[in-house]
Amino acid sequence: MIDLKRISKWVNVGGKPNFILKDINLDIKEGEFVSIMGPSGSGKSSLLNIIGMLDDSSEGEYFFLGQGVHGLKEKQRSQLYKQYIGFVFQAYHLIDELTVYENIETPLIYQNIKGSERQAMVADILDRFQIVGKKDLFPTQLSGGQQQLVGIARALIGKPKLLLADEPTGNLNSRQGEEIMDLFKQLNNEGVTIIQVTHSEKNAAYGSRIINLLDGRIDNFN
Amino acid sequence: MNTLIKPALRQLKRYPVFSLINLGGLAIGIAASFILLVYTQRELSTDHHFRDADRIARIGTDFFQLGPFAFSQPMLRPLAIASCKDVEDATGFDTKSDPVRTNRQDRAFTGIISYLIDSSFFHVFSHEAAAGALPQNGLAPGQAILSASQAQKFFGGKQAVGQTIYVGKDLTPYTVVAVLKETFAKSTIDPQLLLPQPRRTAEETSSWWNVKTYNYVKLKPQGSLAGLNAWLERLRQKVVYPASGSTDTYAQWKTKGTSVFFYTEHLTDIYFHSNLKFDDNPGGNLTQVQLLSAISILLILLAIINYINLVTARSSIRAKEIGLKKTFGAPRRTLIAQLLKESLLFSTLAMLLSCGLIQVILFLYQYSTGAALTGPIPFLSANYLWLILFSVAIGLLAGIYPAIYLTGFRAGLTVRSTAGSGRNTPRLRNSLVTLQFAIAIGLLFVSLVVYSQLQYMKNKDKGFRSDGVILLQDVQALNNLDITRKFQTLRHLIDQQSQVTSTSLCAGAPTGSTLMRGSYRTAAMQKEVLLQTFPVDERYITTLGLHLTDGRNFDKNLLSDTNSLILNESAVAAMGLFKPIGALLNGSERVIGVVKDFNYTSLRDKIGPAVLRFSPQGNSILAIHIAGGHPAAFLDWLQQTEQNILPGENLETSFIDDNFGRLAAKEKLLGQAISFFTVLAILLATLGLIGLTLFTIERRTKEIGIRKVLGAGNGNILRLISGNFIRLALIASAIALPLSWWLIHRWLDNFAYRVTINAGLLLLTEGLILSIAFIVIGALTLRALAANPVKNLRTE
Repeated sequence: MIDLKRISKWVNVGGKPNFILKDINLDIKEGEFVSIMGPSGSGKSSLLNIIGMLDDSSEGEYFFLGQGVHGLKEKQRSQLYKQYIGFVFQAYHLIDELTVYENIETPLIYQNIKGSERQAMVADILDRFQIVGKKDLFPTQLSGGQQQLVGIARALIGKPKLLLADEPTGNLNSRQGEEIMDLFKQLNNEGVTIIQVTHSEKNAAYGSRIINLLDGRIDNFN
Repeated sequence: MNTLIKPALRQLKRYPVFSLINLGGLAIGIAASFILLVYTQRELSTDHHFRDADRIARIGTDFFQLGPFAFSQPMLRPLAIASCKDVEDATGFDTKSDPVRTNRQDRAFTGIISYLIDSSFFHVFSHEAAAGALPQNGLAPGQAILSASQAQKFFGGKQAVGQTIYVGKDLTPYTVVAVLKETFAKSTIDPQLLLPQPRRTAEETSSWWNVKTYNYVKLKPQGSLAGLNAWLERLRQKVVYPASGSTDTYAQWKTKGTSVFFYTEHLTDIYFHSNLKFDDNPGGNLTQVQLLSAISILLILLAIINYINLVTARSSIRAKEIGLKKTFGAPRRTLIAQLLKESLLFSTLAMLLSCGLIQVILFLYQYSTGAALTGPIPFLSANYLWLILFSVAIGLLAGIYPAIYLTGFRAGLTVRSTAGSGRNTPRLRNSLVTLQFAIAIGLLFVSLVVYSQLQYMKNKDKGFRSDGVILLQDVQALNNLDITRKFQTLRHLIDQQSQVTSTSLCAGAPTGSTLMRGSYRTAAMQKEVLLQTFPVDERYITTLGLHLTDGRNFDKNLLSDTNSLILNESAVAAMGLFKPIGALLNGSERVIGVVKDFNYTSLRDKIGPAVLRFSPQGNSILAIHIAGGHPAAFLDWLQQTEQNILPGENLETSFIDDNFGRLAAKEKLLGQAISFFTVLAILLATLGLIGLTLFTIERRTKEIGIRKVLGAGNGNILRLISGNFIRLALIASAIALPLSWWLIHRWLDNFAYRVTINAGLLLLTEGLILSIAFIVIGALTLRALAANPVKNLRTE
């Protein structure tokens, strides 16, 4: 599903390239549950952003479902991730001005799905995550765990093939974290490919494969 | 103080764009409204600067329904001084426009109005000298006084006092004894050159029908206008009535049109309220002053709204600081004082900036309109004290709401930095933005209507050809056959020019200042009517391009035509003629033609009746129509030829549309001022919009980023950001358009001929405002999107 070939990413600091990612080769099959681990600054989030097409690599090739992402225009790329990818963030990134219901609905609006259909889909997922009672609340009125639940619901509403999660439990207590990881496991069993960035060994263990990053390289000896 | 200024300046530095917009907006607002304030103040106090101005009054007169005139009989002055107990002193001056030379050989300066003054002029009108000494008891023969601007024009930087000037065609020498001091104050008494009044002739001191003197009296402190009027009424009965030789009783005579009337008015009322003929000064326009002062208030309102909006918009940033100080125990009063001081500091900075801006705006105004709104505002004058008070007031006004708003947050809430949750953007800010939009829309609409009315007046068919017609004044010399013959030669040469299509000798062109009444009656009429009359030759209709609709033109070969008349349509209607051609007026004068109505006053007034009377001899104005529209070459040729044939004669040339243009000058000034300050107002509103949009984007960067990740296109984001503003703009137009429509209709009602306001103008206004808003918001949003807001998500 995902095929990264010699991906590098650098930023220029004082005229010299400062490598964030160096020579990453990675192949992820459909249905995998991959955990990316590594110390702070090792390039985990950068790698996730490149996979999620939120950012460009400086060098290398990226094939998503067999299609070369590196050559695509912004618009086509956006079309691609709108359709196949869902994001979950550590800081939830819900829109404060919108209710729970509207937050979940937003991606569907941008996928040009009709109103009645949207209603059905949102109702469905609210039901599944058991947050129907919260649908008219604003994000600030929810606990962190509940907010992250909404964030995941929003990521899943478009029925993505790939779920990218950047430390999804980082702001949560351990009980809430466990619930979220159980949910991920369950989703993975239903066929959603998941890539998560995490600090926690315990969370990483939920996955089927662990990739260790160190200073922008994949650490094969670990 | 340091604890206040340093952080405040740091704020300015930290948010440069924001601060610049806020400061610039406030400074523009202060500068523009200050200028308008000075302007209206100067207009409203016209003539008030003379010593005892409230005791000065003017006497005008009227007879034969020709006037009422601003001037009156020369003999009123000695009579008033001698026998009116309310009068302390009186002065009468005649005006004339003579060529002036600084030496006998040089080219003359023309278009200079000189006042011929008597011994009381400076007793009534206090003046100061810039150089020399003012002869308080009048000029001796051969002495002259110049205004400062004329002195500069004649002698450059050189000392004018002691120099000799040569006035008139006969080059009478005068020695300059003083130069008048220029004042910033405006006056209807604005002499460029003062000359001594020559001895009055016998006719001038005996006839009640010889009027040309502007008579002003200074009333005694205990005197009154009513007293003056009572004296004038006695004068009519005891002196004027016997002199008229009328066979009526006094009671009958005094109300008749053929009687002599007097009109008195306070000097300070003349500028705005006088409506007498031959007022030398064009007079003020109260509507304009009112409109412009309204605009000045709107401008400052816009600036204050900008300030309030931008400051409260940034409240989430400031609120944290305020909240922290609160947790340290700062009382609310101290915090309010701090914020007020900040806004005062800010308005002071804006004021300093506006001192420079005032000059820039005055310059731009003059540059774009070609006319000065006020004179240069003298620096370090009382006006600038107003500026300081003004900015303090603005600082307090603009600061008070943000201060109360910001210090009202609960300390705990703001420190946690989750302020700005939920969907309620402050209702106040929305209403203020709506108000701003409404002001901009209203002003734009008003200035578009004023502009189209001016265009309409310019392009409206006046019933005669108004471009390409040159008027040559005074082309006759009554008692000098030689010169008269030379004039004929000149005219002959003019006729031969290929550019010239037609010339006509007449006694008056439709230039608004023509005044010649004749009385007419048909056999069926009880009383005669007085109608505007133009004595003309047979080429008048061709030269001026009047449209003959019925009958025929005058024929110089028909002896009977010396008793012929051509009427305009209004005159036909006024006389009640069903079959005008062939009708007899006054028993012997036959109507031989009818021309389409032509406008001989201004478009404010309905076209009046007019009569063309055949009078091939004795006319003093030569109207020349030239084809092709390049009059410069012709004028050069004319000047050359004139110098050759009639050396020493300076014939006054003017274009007929110039004359007509002067009539529209007042309206034109209004149009220019309104459009200029409307542009400023829109600029201010745009600045505010830029600030608010920047802020909105800043505040919503995270949201924009999230939405982008969720698949929003640039179009979606644009709609998101602009939606609220556009909605407010639409609400604003719903308020502003009907209101300004109603207002401008009241102004249009002043005109007999006016544009109809159509939907197109409304749409144009709406379209302009919406596109400005959309361009501003669009550009800023796209700029923000280009910076890739998704990156911001990662930095959190």
